Amino acid sequence: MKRKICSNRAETLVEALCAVLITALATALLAGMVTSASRLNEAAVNNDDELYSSVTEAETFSGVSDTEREISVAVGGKVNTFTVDVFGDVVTSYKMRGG
Amino acid sequence: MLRKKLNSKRGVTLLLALLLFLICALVGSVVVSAAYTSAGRYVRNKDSQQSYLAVMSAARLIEECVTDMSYEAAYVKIVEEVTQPQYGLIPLKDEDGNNVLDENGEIVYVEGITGYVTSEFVSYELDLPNLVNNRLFEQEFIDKLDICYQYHHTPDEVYSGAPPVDYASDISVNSDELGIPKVVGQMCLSCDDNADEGNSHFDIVVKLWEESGANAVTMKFPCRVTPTHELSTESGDNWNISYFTYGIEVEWLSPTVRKGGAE
Repeated sequence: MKRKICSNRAETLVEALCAVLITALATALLAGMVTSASRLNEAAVNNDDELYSSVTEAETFSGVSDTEREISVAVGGKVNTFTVDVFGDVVTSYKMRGG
Repeated sequence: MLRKKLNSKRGVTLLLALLLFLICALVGSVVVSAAYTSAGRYVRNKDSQQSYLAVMSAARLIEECVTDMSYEAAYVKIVEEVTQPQYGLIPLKDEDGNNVLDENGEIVYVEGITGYVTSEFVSYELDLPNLVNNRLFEQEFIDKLDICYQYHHTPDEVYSGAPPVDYASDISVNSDELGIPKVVGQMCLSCDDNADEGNSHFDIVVKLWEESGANAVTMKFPCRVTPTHELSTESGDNWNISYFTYGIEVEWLSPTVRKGGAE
C-alpha cells in the first residue's frame, strides 16, 4: 500500500486531460444524438396521428377542407368538369358536390 | 517487443476514452438512423394513402355518374289499316226495301258499294333517344349502346345488320388543382357476344389506377334491362293506325369493386 502511494508511475497530465476531453465529447455526442432521435420520433408520432386522423376524415367524407373545387374527367374525347368538395388535410379525398 | 507493447498498461486511459467515444458514436448513429427510417416510413405511408384516396375518389365520382344514367331504346311497329269501299252494281231498292223492276220485269241495277276492303301496311321505326343523365360519356359510347341494342334486342321479324359491339375508351381524372395524383384508366362495354342471359352485354367495366400504376381498382356495373311493351292507336273514319312499341330500359346498378386491374 505504501508502495502504491509512493509510486511515480501514472498517466501524464496531458494524457489524462485528453482522456477527459474525449470522454466528455463522446458523452455530449451521444446525448445530442439521443435528443435528436427523440425529437424525430416525437415528430413522427405526431405526424402519424395527424395522418391517421386525416385519412379517417378523407375516408368518411367528414371535415371539409375545401369546397367548390373542380375536377376534370376525360372519357375518350369528351372532357367533363365536376364541382367537388375536398375532405382531409394531410391527405385528401373528394366527392361530387351534392353527391 | 509487440507482446510487451500489448501488455503495457501505460496510456490505457486514452485508449479507453477513445473506445468509449467509438461506442458512443456507434450507438448514437444507430439511434438517429432508426429515427430517420421512421420518418421516411411516414412519407411513404402518406404517399401511399394519398394514392389510394385519389383512386377511390375517382372511382366514387364515376360510380355516381354511371348509376344515375339510364338508357331507353325501342322499335315501333306501325300498322296502318285503311278500309276502302268496293264499288259495283247493286239492285236498286224502293222505300220498302224491295227490288225495283223495269218494264220488262228485270231487276234494275245501279252502281253502289258492294263491300269493304281493308288494306294493311306495316312499317318499323327505330326510336333511340339520348342517354338520360349522361354526364360522362362521349357520343361514340351512346352510338355503341344503340348498336348493342340493335344487335341484341331487335325483334326477330326485323332484320338488323348491326355488328357486335366492341368499345373501349381511355379515362383520365385530372385533379392537379387539388394536389392529388392523376388517375387514369379504361372503360368498356363488356361486349360479351355470348352473354344473352341476363343481358350482361350492357355491363360497363371501368378500370382505374394511379398514374404510377399503384392502387388499381376495377368496377363492374351490372345492368338491369327492363323490357317495355306499349300499344297506342289512332283512328279516323276509314283508317286506323296501331303503334306497337317494343322497347327496353337499361339501368346500371351499384358496381362490384375489386382491387387490381392496372394495365
